[in-house]
Amino acid sequence: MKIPLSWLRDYVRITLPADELAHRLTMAGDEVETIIRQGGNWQHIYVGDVVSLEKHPNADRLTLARIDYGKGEPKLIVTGATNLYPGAKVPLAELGATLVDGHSDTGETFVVKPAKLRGIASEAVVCSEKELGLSEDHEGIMILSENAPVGHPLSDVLGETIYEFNMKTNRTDRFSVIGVARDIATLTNEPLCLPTGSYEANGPDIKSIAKVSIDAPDLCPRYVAAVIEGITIGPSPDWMQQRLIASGLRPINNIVDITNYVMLEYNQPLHAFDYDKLANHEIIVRRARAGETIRTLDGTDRQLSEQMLVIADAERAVAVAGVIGGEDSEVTPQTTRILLESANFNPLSIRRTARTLNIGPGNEASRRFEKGLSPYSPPVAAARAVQLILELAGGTAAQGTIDVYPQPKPPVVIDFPLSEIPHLMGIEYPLEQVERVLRDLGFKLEAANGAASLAEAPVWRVTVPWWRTDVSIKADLVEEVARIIGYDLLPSTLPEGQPAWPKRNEDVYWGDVVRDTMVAAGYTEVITYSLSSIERLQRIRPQGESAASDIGGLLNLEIEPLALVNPLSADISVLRTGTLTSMLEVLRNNLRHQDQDVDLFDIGRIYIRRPQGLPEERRILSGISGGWRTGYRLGERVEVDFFTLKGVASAVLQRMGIGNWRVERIQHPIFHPGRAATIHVPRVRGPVGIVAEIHPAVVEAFDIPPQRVSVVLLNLGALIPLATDLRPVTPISRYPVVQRDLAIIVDSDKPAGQIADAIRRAGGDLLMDVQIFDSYTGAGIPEGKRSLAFTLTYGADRTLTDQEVNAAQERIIQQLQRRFGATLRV
Amino acid sequence: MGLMEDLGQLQERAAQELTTVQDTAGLEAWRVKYLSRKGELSSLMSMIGRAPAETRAEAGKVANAVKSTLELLFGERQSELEGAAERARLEADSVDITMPGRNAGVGQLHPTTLVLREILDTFNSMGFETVEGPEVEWDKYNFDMLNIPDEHPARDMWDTFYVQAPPQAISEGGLLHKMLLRTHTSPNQARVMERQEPPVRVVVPGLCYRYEATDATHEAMFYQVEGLAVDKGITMSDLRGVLLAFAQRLFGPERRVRFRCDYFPFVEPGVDVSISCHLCNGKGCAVCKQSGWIEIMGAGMVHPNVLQGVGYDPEVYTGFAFGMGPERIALLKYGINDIRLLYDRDRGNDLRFLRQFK
Repeated sequence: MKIPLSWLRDYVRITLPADELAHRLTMAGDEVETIIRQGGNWQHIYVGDVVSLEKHPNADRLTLARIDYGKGEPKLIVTGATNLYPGAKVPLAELGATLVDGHSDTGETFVVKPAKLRGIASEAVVCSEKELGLSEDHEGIMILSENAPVGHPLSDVLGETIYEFNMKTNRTDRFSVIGVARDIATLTNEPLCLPTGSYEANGPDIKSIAKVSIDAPDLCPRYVAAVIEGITIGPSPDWMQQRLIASGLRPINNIVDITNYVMLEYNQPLHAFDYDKLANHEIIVRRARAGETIRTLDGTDRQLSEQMLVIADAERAVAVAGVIGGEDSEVTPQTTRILLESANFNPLSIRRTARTLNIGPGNEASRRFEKGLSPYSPPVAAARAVQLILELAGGTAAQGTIDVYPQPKPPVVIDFPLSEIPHLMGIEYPLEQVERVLRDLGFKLEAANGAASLAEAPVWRVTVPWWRTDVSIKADLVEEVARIIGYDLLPSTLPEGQPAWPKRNEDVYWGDVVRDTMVAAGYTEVITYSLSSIERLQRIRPQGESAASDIGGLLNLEIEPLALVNPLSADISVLRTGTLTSMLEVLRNNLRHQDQDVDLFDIGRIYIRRPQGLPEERRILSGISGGWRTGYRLGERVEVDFFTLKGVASAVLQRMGIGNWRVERIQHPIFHPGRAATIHVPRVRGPVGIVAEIHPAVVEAFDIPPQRVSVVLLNLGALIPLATDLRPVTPISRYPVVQRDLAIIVDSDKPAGQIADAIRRAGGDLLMDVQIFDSYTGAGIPEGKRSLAFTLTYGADRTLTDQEVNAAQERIIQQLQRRFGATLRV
Repeated sequence: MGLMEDLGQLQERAAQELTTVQDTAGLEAWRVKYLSRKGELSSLMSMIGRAPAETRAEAGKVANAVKSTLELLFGERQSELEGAAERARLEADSVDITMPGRNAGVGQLHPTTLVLREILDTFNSMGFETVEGPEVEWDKYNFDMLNIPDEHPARDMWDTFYVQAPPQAISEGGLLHKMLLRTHTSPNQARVMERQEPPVRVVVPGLCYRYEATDATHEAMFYQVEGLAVDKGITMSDLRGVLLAFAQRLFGPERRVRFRCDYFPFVEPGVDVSISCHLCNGKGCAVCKQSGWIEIMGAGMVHPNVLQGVGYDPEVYTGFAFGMGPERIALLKYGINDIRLLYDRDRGNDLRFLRQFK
């Protein structure tokens, strides 16, 4: 909302500079977003008078205008504008003036320079509203009031300092000039002088010439009507037009302008009907009838529904209540009698109606009614409007108003213990200051519970002024005092008392442990979008591949994702059920800039619908690597594969204190058929993770250049409950250990992990560790076989004898021969 | 020629020759030539026995002196040569120290995580426990219990993504609920207080969503950190102190905190919190738009309706709440000019950006 400072000055003396006052208002909750200094940069721009017009001899579309602006000969101007006429008052910019570029969307400016158009030099330019920075209108030249003083600087005529306020507030009174003026008066300790709204009524008794009834008091708590006869429709005076323009409204005629002007003053929208077009001179406030239609002011035929409130005459709807007027009953140049409406409507009903009729937040009336206005304001605003109409449009007011107010709302009264201030704020304010602020803001104060004076009363009885629809509890009063006196007086203290027992959030803690482990392993953290689309999520499924299992709730291709009702765009329209798509996308993006060392991880949630209640939000660690990493030697690169990621999984699980995990081979169309495994841990049914290389077809589907793409997915939701900081530490033996190597030849399909397990079991207590150090096929090894080599470490709390170790080694060899058909490699 | 002279000459000759020896092979040849059992010194010494008896003792003495002198010289020359060889070997092993170090292979955290950790650490150290809540929420928690009833115009302050709930999901306790993506972490105020009795001191980090087109300063998905303290005697001065401690820890000990009256339906009084600009120290610069102050969060005293809604007696308990965006803090702290560098599908999560936080 924009308010010109000159308007505020009508009601309160302003002595502070504009930016300081804006700051004070902002700190008090009336946030001034911008200070617009209209005319501040209008140097060399004057009010000009069009003396004559003629066609450009060399161009059909151009006009030569001679414009007088009181300095020597009239200037000759070449213009393409078509709305000039002799006698029109226009803004004339001399050479050197700075104007806004009429064709720029970003408000770029230019300096007026001499220019020849089709052979004729233009000595100055005439300006559109846009060129002056007043609006976006660049359709024609701005026509000034015919009374504009020719030759005066335009800034003297149209210059203004305007505050643009942020509308984010619950304070409906602040959407009004008077509301802001009251805050200024209170902040600067100045008196507030309001319009009286008094006028002389010489017409007939209104009750004899008009009738108002409310059929839907739930939607219209109050309706005030006034009638004025013998008015003359014409333009409103310049000062009013200028204030409306400065406030962002377009002047129309004196009656409409007055209703808008009073709306801005009091935040009470008004509507003027042509009295003679109201059938039976009657107003009925009722719900629309099924199938009823209305042609509204904007020329649109609108279908009404029974949920909507209309203003009707004896025959038909003449306005959509509080939203938009009807074309039939609107004020025209011929109108001589008007019925003025000043009413209160149910905010919810207005909001729904405006939405249904697709009348946006740009509609001044509905936007204000939606916030919920005071039922006390209609008579006040009506009186002010009638006063202005008599003054500016002539005529005679009917005596009295019709005021239908079936259930008057009592004022809000709050018992306000002064202890509430230190209770909430932690400090006390001087009593006189509290009293002064509340009184200046319009609150009525009395001592409660029989105390003799305010000074002695621990509790005040506070009557909230009608315009403060936002104040209803003690805390609201504390805020009123604090915002005016200011928060800078508050000390900085820390809460007393015992905070709760310090507890560790396991999810956050282990999330951080996993992050640190991933970083140490060389991975960089990304945070990917939780929103995706079905198409994107399904993109990991190779074409033509049928459904496959969801693998431990990590892929979830068979689960229908939760969809948004109102997505911003199609590709972020559902909540993701898996992270693989996000990871492949972010890998691809990064591979565009570098072809190695792309190792990324994400700890994010996936969202799995449940038949009832909120979805499960499952925390997933996703790690992904491109095919190559910088090697140890300069210029060397090493291939990243399944085993790299298996190592990462191992590091993470180890760091979480989860041992005894194992892998199982899986076949799944997303993954490389021979390089994919699920991860299993004791005490959890089903897999808790996947380590795999992505199938080349999927890699290609994501436009990733051919390379091994390896991933690890871990269901942290399942793993964190198993995680522990505790470690079963065994003492380090002071005796030497004995290491023996063991090389065997076995069938290639015998898993090394199982063989190592068998060695561990067969080795007995003395066998401390088994490490695989070689896996070899090729020369010297029969077809279909491979050689595996292990380092076995024996130890105990004493020095071992060769016989003991040999016996263990022998047991192991026999076991391997029996179970795997292994032979010793010699 | 007497034996004595021969010994003297031998010593002279051998010492002279030793100075020309340049490597271990030459040194060994010298040793063999002069000092070995078949060397020249040995053959001279073997002649001592045949020398006249009266000179024999004297010749033996001289021969031994020559021997030890030569052995000493040999030892010196040997260490000289070995030292030189070692020096030469190390010199040959010299590197261009301006060549790059080997890749340590360390990754790094996302800047949002860095900032989140700092925020949480600060509040944890002041006794605030970290809790989390669901991102997919009921409007009951996101709005109603925060004093924002259905169709209240204040709901317009949050552009909300609604979720197509499974039909059974929307009637919880017979009431019709709308499922949505939480627009802030504030629903956890109600969730935490429903679960426990006062005193409450929590911080709630988490992802939030707003129906908002993305640009340099807006993201549809973003983090928020909510803070809540409820107990007997909690005041706005406590809020100011806690936030001052926070501001100074994150942005330096010079920082000051300013409250400006603002409106959030779930607090009363409500304030917007600014800190004195850490770049210009409050003098005014481009980042703080010449004001000297930077807005970093909304805060206030928990609205009595919110307390009442969870069964706390607002006459007995008071509390403060605050909510901040770690992205905004990251942008300010690191001077990032475009929020899309953080998460955006096209521009975000770029290693060229992320590596700068190593």
